[in-house]
Amino acid sequence: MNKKKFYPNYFTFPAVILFIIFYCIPIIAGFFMSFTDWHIKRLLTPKFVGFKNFIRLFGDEHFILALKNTVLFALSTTIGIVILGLLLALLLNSAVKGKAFFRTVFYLPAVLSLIVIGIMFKAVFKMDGGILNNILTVLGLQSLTNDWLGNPKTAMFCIIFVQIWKWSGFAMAIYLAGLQGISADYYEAATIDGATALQKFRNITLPLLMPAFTVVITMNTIGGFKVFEQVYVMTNGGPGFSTQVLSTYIYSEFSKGSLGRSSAMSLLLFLMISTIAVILNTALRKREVEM
Amino acid sequence: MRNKVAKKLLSVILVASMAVGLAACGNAGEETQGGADAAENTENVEAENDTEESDSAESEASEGETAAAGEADFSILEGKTIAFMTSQAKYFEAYQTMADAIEADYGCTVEFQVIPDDEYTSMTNLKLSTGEVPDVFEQNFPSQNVTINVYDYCEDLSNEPWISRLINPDLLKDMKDGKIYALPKESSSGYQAVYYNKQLLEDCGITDPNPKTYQEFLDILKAVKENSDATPFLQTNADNWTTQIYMTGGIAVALGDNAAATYEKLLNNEITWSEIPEAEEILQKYIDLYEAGYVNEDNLSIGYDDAAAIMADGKAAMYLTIEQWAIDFENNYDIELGSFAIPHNDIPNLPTGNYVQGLFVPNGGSQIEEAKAFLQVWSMPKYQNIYYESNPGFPAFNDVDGGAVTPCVQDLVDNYISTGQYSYEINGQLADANGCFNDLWNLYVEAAAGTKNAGEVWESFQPIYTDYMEQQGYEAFQ
Repeated sequence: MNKKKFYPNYFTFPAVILFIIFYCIPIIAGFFMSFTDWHIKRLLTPKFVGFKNFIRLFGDEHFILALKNTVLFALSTTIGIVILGLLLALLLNSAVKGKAFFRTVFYLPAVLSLIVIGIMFKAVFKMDGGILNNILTVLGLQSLTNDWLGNPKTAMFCIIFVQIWKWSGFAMAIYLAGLQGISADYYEAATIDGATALQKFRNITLPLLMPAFTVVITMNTIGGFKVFEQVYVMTNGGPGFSTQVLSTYIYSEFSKGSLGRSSAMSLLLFLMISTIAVILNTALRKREVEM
Repeated sequence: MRNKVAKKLLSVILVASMAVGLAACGNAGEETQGGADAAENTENVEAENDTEESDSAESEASEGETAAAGEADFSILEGKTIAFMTSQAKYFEAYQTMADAIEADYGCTVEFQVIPDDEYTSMTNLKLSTGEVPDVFEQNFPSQNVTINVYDYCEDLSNEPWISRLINPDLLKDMKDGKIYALPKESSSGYQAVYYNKQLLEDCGITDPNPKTYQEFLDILKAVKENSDATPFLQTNADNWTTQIYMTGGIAVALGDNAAATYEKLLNNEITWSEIPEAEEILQKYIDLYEAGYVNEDNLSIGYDDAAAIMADGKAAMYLTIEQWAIDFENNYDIELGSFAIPHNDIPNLPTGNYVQGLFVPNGGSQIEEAKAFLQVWSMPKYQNIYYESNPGFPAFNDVDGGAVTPCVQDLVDNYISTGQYSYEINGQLADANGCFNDLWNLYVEAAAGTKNAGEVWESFQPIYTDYMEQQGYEAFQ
């Protein structure tokens, strides 16, 4: 006989109280503070300013630039990771020699510290003596050498590349889990019916892999909008303001003491991420197929 | 430990009696007015020191040490760890040697937290505002007092025992309340000059350059470009605080006698930055250096820490920076440097800071008394001399031996400071607005990158400036 054991609800109180103090209250306070002129100099006397912080943000050229950079980063990295992760997973799901080794190698960047990765890629992208420029020079492509992180036109793409490099292996692991859950019977039946490899991929693999896509796309989109460390370590938003993203801009406003304004930016970022995550999740879940 | 305390007390009594006897004829505490004057004053102290017997110097040091110690009980430092936050550019290896000596004498460990330069001010502000503070931290003062809001977050150190030993206390007083909020490292600093590789310039046919007009400065750059493979003018814009040096000093020099009036108008919101022709002119000349090919191509991705190796390798001929870099460079490389000031608008004045670097004690710290005791110990000649042995300069205290200053820095004192040919850079004069200058420096970097012209930089900066001043609560901006 299966006997269920019940515990009283008040056992959850300590956890709930901590959750309220350290999670709910700061979020609610942040929401209200974004409508005030809260500043380090007026910590205890913030005044209600309505939508002034938000209006000012949309007239701020650096906020707009940070917003554009954030959207560019989130979109590019998500697309890159989804595609590259899938290619790696498909490759390493087949009968490749040493696939366990390669799976580990490709997954490895996901467990490395972002700070370490940032410093490592600074050496790669360095203009004088950088690994990338050295390779280009050896290949006779000296005309393509560049100050990759110092050039405002290429710096953002370098950071995007690093993000894709870091997280593709992680996406690969999620896809692999999905691929291994697809029964071989479907493929056998399709083969008997004379389906080509592309048809099998389109009609079997892709639909049955949709739950994995949902996870990868949602996680990377949210991660992309929240990006901070990579930018902070590799360029700190520079040169000038060229790689500034929302999180680094919020940090810079916060450190200037503009707490109300940084709260307003955080609220906008929160709303943006929530909306996109809900839309994506809903849209992707509709396409998922029951096995 | 008891013996140690007893010995200390005995030496305090002995030295106090000696000090009383000597007080009537002593004038070591004579004050000077400006930071630059302090360099001359320190020179005199050093010259006097040189003529004395070595044992007399030792006794002076010991006297200073005990006087610095006063009657404070340093036993509170025993077994404590002092968290000491500083930035990469401010940190010197000698700090660790000083810390080791203090640990040996007082049993107090120092834990250095060295923050990258480009994050330092924002990190300091963040720590102060959130209360996650180190025991002491290093920052320029009094120019940064407003930016880091010392009034709310730092201890007033005006009544500490080491104040009486300061060479230049007037420079250190806060412009608003006249209090001293930090223990200074030097009596004068921030000589914003071009430090050049002497041999490399000689190979280009230039010996002991001393440009009196801006054209003469450009001629030097041209000669280097034409006669060597070296970059004439090294810039390290990955650290935007190094980018600003040209403008921060140049605008002040170009403004000349109008400087004070212009700063006042800016602070009263009577003019905009775009309405200062000197600001646009100096920035344009800076941009012209890039367009003329005088600046290294990788300027946007290399930082202050990279400069020494580049100069030592002969890849660059000149670097516009501050004297601390030159002192550090000559300590580490066997290459002779020379120096001169850029004659902005044909005025051969040396831009200098009316600030020094100092150690602050945050009032949110958990060991305030220990931190104050630590500062008192840190200021003692025994430990300060350790720093100046390897980094000769202009000490803040009248009983500390600054050592033989690097010739290229001494030349600046002789050629510019002693002759009155210097101007205070704008950051110190506009201390109230310092908190938004990081954005301005980023805009300078954009100008260096070619994505903004001089006019656009000032147009972009104006709303940032007015907004910052409004946020700070200045009436003229409400």
